[in-house]
Amino acid sequence: MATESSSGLQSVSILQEKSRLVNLAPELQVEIFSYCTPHNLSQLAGTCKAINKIAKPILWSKLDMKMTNAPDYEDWRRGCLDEEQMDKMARATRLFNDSDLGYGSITKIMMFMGGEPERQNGKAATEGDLLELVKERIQDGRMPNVRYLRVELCRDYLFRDGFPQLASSPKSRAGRLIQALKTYSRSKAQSEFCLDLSYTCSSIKDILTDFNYPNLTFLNLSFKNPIADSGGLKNYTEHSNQAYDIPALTKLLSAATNLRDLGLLPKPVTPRVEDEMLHQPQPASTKLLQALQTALFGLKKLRSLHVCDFLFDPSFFPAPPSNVKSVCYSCLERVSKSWWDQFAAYDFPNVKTMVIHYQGEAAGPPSRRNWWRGIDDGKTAVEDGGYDGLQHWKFKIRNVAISTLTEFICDEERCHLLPTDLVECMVRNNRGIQEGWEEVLAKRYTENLSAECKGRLVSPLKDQVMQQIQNRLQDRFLDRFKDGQNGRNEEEEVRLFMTAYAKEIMHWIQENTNTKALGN
Amino acid sequence: MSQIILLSSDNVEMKVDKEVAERSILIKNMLEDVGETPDQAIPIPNVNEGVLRKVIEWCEHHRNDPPPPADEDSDSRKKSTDIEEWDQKFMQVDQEMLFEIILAANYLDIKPLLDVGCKTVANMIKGKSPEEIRKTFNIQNDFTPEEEDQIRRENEWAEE
Repeated sequence: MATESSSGLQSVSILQEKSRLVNLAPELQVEIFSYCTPHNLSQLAGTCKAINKIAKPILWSKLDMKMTNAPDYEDWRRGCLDEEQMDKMARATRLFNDSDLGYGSITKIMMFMGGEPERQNGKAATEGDLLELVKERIQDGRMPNVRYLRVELCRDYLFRDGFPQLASSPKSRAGRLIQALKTYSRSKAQSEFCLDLSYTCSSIKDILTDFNYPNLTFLNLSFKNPIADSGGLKNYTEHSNQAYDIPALTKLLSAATNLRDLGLLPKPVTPRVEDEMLHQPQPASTKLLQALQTALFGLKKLRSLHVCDFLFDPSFFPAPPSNVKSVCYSCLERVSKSWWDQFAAYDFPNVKTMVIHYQGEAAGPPSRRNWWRGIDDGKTAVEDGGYDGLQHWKFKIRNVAISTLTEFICDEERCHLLPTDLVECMVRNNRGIQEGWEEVLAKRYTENLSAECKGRLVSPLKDQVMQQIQNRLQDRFLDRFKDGQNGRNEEEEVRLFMTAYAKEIMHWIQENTNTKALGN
Repeated sequence: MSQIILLSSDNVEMKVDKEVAERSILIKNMLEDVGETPDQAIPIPNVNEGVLRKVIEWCEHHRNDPPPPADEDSDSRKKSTDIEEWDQKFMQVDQEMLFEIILAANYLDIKPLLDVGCKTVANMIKGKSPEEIRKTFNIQNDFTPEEEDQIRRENEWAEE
């Protein structure tokens, strides 16, 4: 029987000759064990010497620390060490030699900070000790294999102390560890160290002092909305507006040459209507926004871009650089009509996946009616037929330039917040995504048309015959869509519908008269 | 559809569709190098008849699978031990065969089959104590009681 494993150089004691697992080639053992959880690995490590040699470095390869007691995050970050486990690790570190433990195997450090930064009642004397022990080992070179750091800072944690304090405060163990890692990362070549940052900052300037930006491969940046976060207009000062520091972000992006994933997430809010009425922020300077777009285009390695809400200005459409494969624009309730025009005109070279997504369910009706309407459109939304009451936009983009999509994800339920023909344009122009979307389109099309016509009808019979006409229209729409016909004439459609309706209603009356012999 | 012949280590010939055999990157590359469909049997010296039949069965069932996504980030990809139903049934074999399939998938370079095999073994480890793992895989304990205790304490932090 051919057993490849026995040809390996490893010398497995004769004791283990019966075990297929122990005799497997090390690279296959690594492959198998990489599917095991830390708990499973800790059990494996205790089975025998040969397995221990493989399992231990895998168990120690990742130091994933969760510093939060917020229940919300429990499920979200499964598999990382909670504070109790971190304390246990600290205890083991004090008891045993580094050579017995696996610090030298650590390649990844992940820190998640959210919720309350300190434990209640200060009950444990060893609190956070592990961070201190790791910091020492980073500093004196006992963890030379770390090549990846992920820091996730969540709002709640941050806004308690503020990020600048956290990052530099001698009181904060997490802050000191991050500082040590920063120094460490500078000693590594760019290709040897990756940095993922995902956090909320009160000001973009705060993070300019943090890390070596060419190390950044992933950046998910949330920043505050100045009005909402200062507690409404009453407390709003120019100072609160520092998050809107476009040059700071431009500088950051210009330096982050290895960035692969970028999320720019101004905290989406719908300010109270009265705030908007009183305070209409000035549109951002075109020159600054152009510089920001140039920096964005300079990110040659970027493959995914997520922008949430409008970025600095409701008319600023941040276009992805050419290598990006996937884009997500979310919470677009407040972007302007010209934002959409720019969106429609951009061809998104190489983009395969697009997500148009909403999150702001608690945000209430979109508020651009008061705030941004007119700033870039030069006329009011009403004149443009644009804004329908509190809920619906009624403008069209007519066409889109993008044609490379293979996946399009869009929140159907909230399509009324998009240009009315967005989905149709996307589906028509991107053959790769048609399946499934056609039906959605046909349904929406007939519903809209029926609603339009229904308003013009007075007959008490209309509900009864409407459905039949709708079904027929839906089929016709699908046929025509497959033929690749575009550019419908709406008036014509309405006329056709009315004619169909008239025929149908005559038919209905006739039938009822015949069967009952008496009409009303 | 063109077919090719594979020759197992114990000299048994098997005719398979080229498309099926090409689930193996090793065979695919070889055929590409040769340039035309060979008339002679292709020897697979490391895999015996029983195992080769099993591997071909898997390749037949998965002949139309889309190619795995270009691996961008195998590191950050979340490693799930979920296995689809057909594959689970397919892997219900004795341990000897399971490890032979893993070795064959590795040799023939059939990554998705290797993944299924490794996940199956990982699932056999899941939730077991060291003693239970030893029993499952016929492992002899070569630690002294002191060593065993120390290892347990070193890694206690990882326990759930």
